[in-house]
Amino acid sequence: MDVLAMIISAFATALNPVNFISLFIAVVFGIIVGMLPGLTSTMAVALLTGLTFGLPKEAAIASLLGVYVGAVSGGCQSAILINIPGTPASAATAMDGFPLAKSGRAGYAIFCATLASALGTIISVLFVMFLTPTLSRVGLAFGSYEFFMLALFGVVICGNLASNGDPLKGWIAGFIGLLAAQIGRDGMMSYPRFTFGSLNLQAGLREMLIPVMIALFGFPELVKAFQKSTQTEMKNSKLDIGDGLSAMIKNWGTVIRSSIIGVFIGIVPGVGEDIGGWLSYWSAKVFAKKDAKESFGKGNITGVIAAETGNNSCIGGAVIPVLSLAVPGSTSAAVLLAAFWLHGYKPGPLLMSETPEFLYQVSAFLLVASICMFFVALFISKFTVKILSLSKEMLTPLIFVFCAIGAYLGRYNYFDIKLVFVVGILGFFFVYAKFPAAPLLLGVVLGPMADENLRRALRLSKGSLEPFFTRPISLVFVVVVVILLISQTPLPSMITQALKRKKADA
Amino acid sequence: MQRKNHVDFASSIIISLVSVATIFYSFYMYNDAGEPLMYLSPAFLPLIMSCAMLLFSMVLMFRSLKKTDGGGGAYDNIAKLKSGFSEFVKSPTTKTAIVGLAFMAIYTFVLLPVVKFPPQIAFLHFPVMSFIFLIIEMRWLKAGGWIKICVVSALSVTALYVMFAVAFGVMLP
Repeated sequence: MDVLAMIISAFATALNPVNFISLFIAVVFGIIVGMLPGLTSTMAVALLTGLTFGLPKEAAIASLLGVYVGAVSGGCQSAILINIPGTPASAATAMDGFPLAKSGRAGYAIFCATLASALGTIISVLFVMFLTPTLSRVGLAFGSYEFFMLALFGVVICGNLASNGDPLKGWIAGFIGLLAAQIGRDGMMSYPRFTFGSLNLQAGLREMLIPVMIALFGFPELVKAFQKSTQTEMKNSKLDIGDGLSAMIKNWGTVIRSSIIGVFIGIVPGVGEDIGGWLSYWSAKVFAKKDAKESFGKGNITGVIAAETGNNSCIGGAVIPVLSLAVPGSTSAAVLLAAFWLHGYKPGPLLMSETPEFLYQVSAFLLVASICMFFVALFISKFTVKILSLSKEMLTPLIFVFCAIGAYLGRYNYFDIKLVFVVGILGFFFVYAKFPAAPLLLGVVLGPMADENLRRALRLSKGSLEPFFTRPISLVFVVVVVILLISQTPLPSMITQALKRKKADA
Repeated sequence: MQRKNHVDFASSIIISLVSVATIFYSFYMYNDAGEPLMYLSPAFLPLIMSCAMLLFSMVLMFRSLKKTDGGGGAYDNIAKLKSGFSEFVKSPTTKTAIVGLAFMAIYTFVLLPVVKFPPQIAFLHFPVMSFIFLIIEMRWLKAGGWIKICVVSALSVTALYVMFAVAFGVMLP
C-alpha cells in the first residue's frame, strides 16, 4: 500500500463512527480533566488506558490520543481565568493569560489559546508523519550498545530537564526508576528479582505500568486535595473571535517558531509539555520588538499564543520517539507507549517495515482530535466557570474510585489497586521531597530495555566496554551523558575561571 | 528554587539505606542465580543502579550538610526535622489527610477485595462498596449535606456502572 492510500485509509478509520465518538468523548473528558487544577494529562491518559480495555483497539488508541490532546489544551482555560494552570503544561500561559482576563479580555485570550493549541498540534502531526520514518531508519542502525545508551541518555536528560533546577534529584529519581524496573523475572534468565516470593511481583513493574503511573501522578494530587480549598473569583467574557483571528494572523511567525520548538522539545525523552510551553514563551519574548518586550507578563497575547502552541506541539514531538524508537518523549507519551503495547501494537524501529499504517492512523487520530478539541474547548469555555467551581472535596473521592477502576481493568487483579495505594503514598513523599516523578516513570519504562541490552552487549563483546566508545552512535550518547553529568559539577565553572585568569594574565 | 536542606538530608539517608540494602541483595542474587560471569548475571544492572543511587544520595547528603546563612550541619537538620515533624503532626490538614487516607485504605484493602456478596447479587458488589466509600469520604471532607452527598454518590456510581459494566461490558472490581 502506498503512503497516500495509507493516509486515506487512516482518515477513514478515524472517521469511523465508533472511533470518532470514542475520540470525541475522550477529547471532552480530556479538556475537563485538563482544566481542573491538579489533574494532569498523564493522569488522564493513565486513567483512560485502563478504562478503554473493553473497546476495539482502534477506538481505544483514538480515545487515548484524544484525551492527551484534550488534557494538554484544557489547562489553558483555568490558567487564564484563575491564574492556576490546569496542567503544568499551561503554566506559561498564565503569565499573560491571567492579566488579560483581569482586564476583561478572558474570551479573547481563551479563543487565541485554543486556536494556538489546535494549530500547534496540527503542525506537530506533520512532523510526526515526516520525522518518524527517518528516525525509524536511524533506529535500525541501533544495536544493543546504542539501545542501552539511549535508555541511559533518556533518564539522565529527563532528570536534568524535569527537575526544576535540581538535576541531582532528577538523576536519583531516574536511577530509582531503573532499579524499580528490575523487579520481576529478568528477560534473559527468567530469574525472579526483588520479588520476595510474591507471585504478583514476578510479572514485573512494566506489566503494572498503569497502576504505577496512576500512583505516581494521580495519587499525590489526591493527597494534596485534603488541604482546605480556597475559591478564587472568576470572570469570563464573550469569545472575541474577530480580534482573536487577527491576533493569530499577526502572530503566524510565533506559531511556526513555537511549533518547531515544541516538536523538538517533545522528542527529547521524558521532557514534557511544560518545558515546551516555557521555552516557546521565552523565545517569543526574545524575538519580540523592544517596546513589546516590556508588555510580556502584563497581558501580551503573543505570550499566550507562544506558550499554547509550544506545549501542544510537544504532543506530536513526544509521539515521534514512541513510534520510531519505543522511547517516550514525555510522561504522557510513556503512558501511551504502555497503552500501545497493551493493545497489541509494537512501536519501534521495525514499525515502518511491519505496520507502517499505524503511523498514519496515529497521525489521523491526532489531527481529528485537535480539530475536535478546538470546537469542544470553545463550546465548553461557556461553562468553564461552573466546572472550575466544582469542589475538590466532592471530586477527590470520585477520582479515587476512577483510579481504582483504571488500575484494576489492566489485568483484572486486586493487587494493582493495592499497588496504587502503596506506591501512591511513596509517590506523595517523593513529590513532597521535591523529587520529580517523570524520570522515575521513564526509568521504569526503559529499565527492561537497559538491562537486556546491556547484558546482551557485554555478552557480544565478552565483557569489554570498548564497543561503547568505538561505535559512532553509542559514542555520541556516551559523550552527551558525560557532558550532562559533568555540567552539574563545579568543574565547568573552575575551567571557565582558570581560562579567564589565563586571559587576564596574558 | 528554595531547597529544604532537612528534607534533602532525611531523603538522602533513606535512599542511602535502600541503596546499601539493594547492593547486598544484588550480591545475594548473583550467588543465587548461578551465572559465574557478573556482567551476564541478572544482578548486574541492579548492582550498578544501586551503586549510582548510593553515590548520588551521598552527594545529596553532603550538599544538605553544607553550612549556609539559614543554618546547616547535621544537628541543625535534625532539629529542623523534629520541629517540622511536630508541626506536621499538629496540623489540622494532617488529621484530615490521615483519616481520608484510612478510608481509602479500607476501600482498597477491605471493601473491594475482602467483602464478598452472594453470587446472585455479585454484580452489586462494586456499586454498593463504592457508594459506601463515596458517602463516608465526602462526608469526612465536608463536601456538603447528607442529601447532596447521597444523591451525588448514587448518581456517580450508577453512571460508572452503566458506562463500564453495561456499555463497555468490562468486569468491575
